[in-house]
Amino acid sequence: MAKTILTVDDSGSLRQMVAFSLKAAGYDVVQAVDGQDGLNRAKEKTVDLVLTDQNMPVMDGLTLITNLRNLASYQKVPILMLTTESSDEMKAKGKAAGANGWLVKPFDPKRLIEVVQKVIGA
Amino acid sequence: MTVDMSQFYEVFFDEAEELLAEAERLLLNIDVDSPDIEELNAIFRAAHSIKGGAATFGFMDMAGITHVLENLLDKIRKQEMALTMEHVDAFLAAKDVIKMQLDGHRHGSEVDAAQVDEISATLKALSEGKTEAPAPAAAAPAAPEPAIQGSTPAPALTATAEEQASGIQVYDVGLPEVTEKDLDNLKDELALLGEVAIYKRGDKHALLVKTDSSADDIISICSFIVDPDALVVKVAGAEAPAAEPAPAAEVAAEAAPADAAPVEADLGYGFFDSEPVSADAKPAQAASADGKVAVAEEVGYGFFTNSGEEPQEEGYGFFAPFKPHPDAPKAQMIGDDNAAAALAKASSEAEAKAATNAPPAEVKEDRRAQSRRESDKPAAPQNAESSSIRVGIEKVDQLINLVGELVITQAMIEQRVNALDPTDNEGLINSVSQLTRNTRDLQESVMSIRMMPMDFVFSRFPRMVRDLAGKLGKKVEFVTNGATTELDKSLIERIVDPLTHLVRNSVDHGIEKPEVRRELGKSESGTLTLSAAHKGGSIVIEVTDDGGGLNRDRILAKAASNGLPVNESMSDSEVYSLIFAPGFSTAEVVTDVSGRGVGMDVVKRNISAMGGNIEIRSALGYGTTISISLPLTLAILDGMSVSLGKSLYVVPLNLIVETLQPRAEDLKTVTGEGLMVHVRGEYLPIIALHALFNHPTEITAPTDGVLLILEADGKKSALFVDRLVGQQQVVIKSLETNFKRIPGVSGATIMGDGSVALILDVPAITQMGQTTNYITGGRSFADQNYSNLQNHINA
Repeated sequence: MAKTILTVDDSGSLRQMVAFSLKAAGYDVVQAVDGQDGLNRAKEKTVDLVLTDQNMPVMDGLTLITNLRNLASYQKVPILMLTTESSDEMKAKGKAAGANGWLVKPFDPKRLIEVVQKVIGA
Repeated sequence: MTVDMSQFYEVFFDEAEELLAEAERLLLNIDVDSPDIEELNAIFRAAHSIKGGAATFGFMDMAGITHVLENLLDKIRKQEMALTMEHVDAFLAAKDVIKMQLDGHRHGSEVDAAQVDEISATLKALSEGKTEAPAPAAAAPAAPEPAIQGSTPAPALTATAEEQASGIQVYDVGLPEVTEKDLDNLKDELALLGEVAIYKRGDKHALLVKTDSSADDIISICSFIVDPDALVVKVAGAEAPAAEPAPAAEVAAEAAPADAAPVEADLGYGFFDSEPVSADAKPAQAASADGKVAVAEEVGYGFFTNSGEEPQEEGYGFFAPFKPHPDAPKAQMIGDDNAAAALAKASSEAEAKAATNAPPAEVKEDRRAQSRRESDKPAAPQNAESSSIRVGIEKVDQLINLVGELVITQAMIEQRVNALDPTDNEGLINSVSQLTRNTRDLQESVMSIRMMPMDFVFSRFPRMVRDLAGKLGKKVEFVTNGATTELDKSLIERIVDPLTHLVRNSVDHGIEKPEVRRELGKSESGTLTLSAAHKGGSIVIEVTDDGGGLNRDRILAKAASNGLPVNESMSDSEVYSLIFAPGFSTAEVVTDVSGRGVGMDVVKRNISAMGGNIEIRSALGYGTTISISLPLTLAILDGMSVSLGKSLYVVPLNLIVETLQPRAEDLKTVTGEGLMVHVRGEYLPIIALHALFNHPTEITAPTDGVLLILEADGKKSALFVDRLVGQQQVVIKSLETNFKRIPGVSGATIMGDGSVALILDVPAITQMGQTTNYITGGRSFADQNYSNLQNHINA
């Protein structure tokens, strides 16, 4: 069964690009427009991987990650941040919140798939 | 796998336009002295999202300028810098420039490079804390020019200790082989970050970039012109420039000795994770692993990289342990590197600890932050996008067309069925009346697809009013009402120009300067109100100002001197309507009042072309309201069908005040005015349709036929036709596209029996009727006055 990936980004174009790339690589994709939406969708169905933007309205990526890690079902689900902010400070915050890694924007769809495959397999 | 990015361009363009509009709206409403932090965040996010999208989809010019904008906004939202009016002005100007770039990419329209340079220089100056804007000559990008052609030695571009302390670094960017054009592009793009100098290293080029941006930003910007894997970015001076750009695997090794932990991190890579090492790890990776240790130690983690590729080059990394997936093609747990395995173990343990300790503390903080944010914006419609779809307008138009045909067919069936015996065909008749209702509902639903809120038009005015008022030294408060009122998309588009004109006129000529207003005992700040509301089958859009109002006497004098037929007994609304006459206002006009006439004839013509009406109400000294009424849609009309001889005509129902059959004693002939009818104390001119159109009919005396009292452009008149046939919705077919334009006719429709009926253009007919009145003169309009009237209508 195809693995499901939740992608959270307030930018529709980026989210669609990510979703399209992931679908093309054979994954199922759930999209969410901000952290709160992402949290709701994550609760509806436990996904295999979460890709989240950091800077979003309503709830940012770090808060989302922290909230996800508080859910029993998301203790072990890998979470990657897709962010333009790649400072040590941001990475430290991401790690503290419970992220497993990061991918700097802008990125090539190919690279995204490589990373995703490393984390959850093809 | 390759993904064609261009398929997402349109989505990005739409999104960027929305974000720009939203940012502009927020900027216009922002309180400069105590800005709302959430609003600043929202503006920042808009710039941030546009930057991210632009960089991803390769619009580097947009990414460059939004980057500079974002930096400045970031400083302001973090309260490192106070927001000033100057900032707001610069942001608005930047918004315009980004929109220009966006249009350039989207529609191929021209982009003014000087304007781009100017605004990026302004933004940069502002973010460096300079209050005065730099000379518009784009000084910053120009500075490095002389250094470009230097054949070998690295140009002197250094950062002082103070600059370094404030985060300004000089980066050395080693390039792969690039064309001259790409080199120029690179230089231009990087100039947005700071000073740039180009020099030659061996047979390849290198750049020095002095900036407070990170190496990551430099790579982001370069990556759409050259392959980012072939770039070598490091802090200049840390190491002598390499002879030539290193292949990927060497990059980290080269950078590591520079001990540029920040650079490493800025490159956006690093694994903090226990991912297993692949069996064929090469020595080169050890070097890169070294580079990573520095980063990892800072955050208290062991880590190590596993893959055959150079992860540092990939712009991603892993912080925390996750169970490597058994399916993962490269994630085989066969680490042959003991040190690596040990590090991995340490990492897992540390992570386990961190997982139990760190998060709860953060959670509290984050939850607090979250609840605050949520209470600020309780009703934000975040899911609007997921509950709507974008559809091409041509699909909607096709749907509307088909429904139009269906309505006609349905009307035909209804007519046939009505001719049947009701008792024998009761079932059929009931079914058809059900069909009639369904068809009407379907039609209404389909029509509503094309409806857009007036906000699409109104939203552009706050900015315009602000700019215009600033330019004229006036204070104007801009208010909108009924922005959610919906109007057909095609009308929305066509109302923009006339409305822009009216708003500009109101600010320019209507609202007085603050000192004048003060003398008059008014508040210094004038109020300009744009409102929209449904009234019957029309939408009424009003532009109201509390300025000087129109001066009746001056308009009359002006009209008289222009040779327009005027007299003192004209009603106010007739007098005001004079300013719509072509050429009413000319260059010699200096008064506030008559200045309003500039281009008003064009406004009026546009509104008439939309099937609408325009009216003026004004009180001298108190202000003016210009009221436009438009049909809700151009596709369907509520009409009254009337007969003339053997033909049917349709009159728009919303223009009919009443209908009556005149008595002989109500008809009066007035010298010079023709035949009039006396209705409730008013004398209205009678326009005989059969004479106007030279249409044969047996009914030539008004007492034998019917008079429709029409009101258009604030004037009433009585249209004389044979009979009223019935009221019905008709689907408008353009006569212009299918045949040609005929004065007095705005379109055609197909009736239930399949015959064609012409739809009357009431304002035009009213005007035509005034110029010639058939009964008194006994003249035929078609014979004698055609060219005269043609001019009149086209004027």
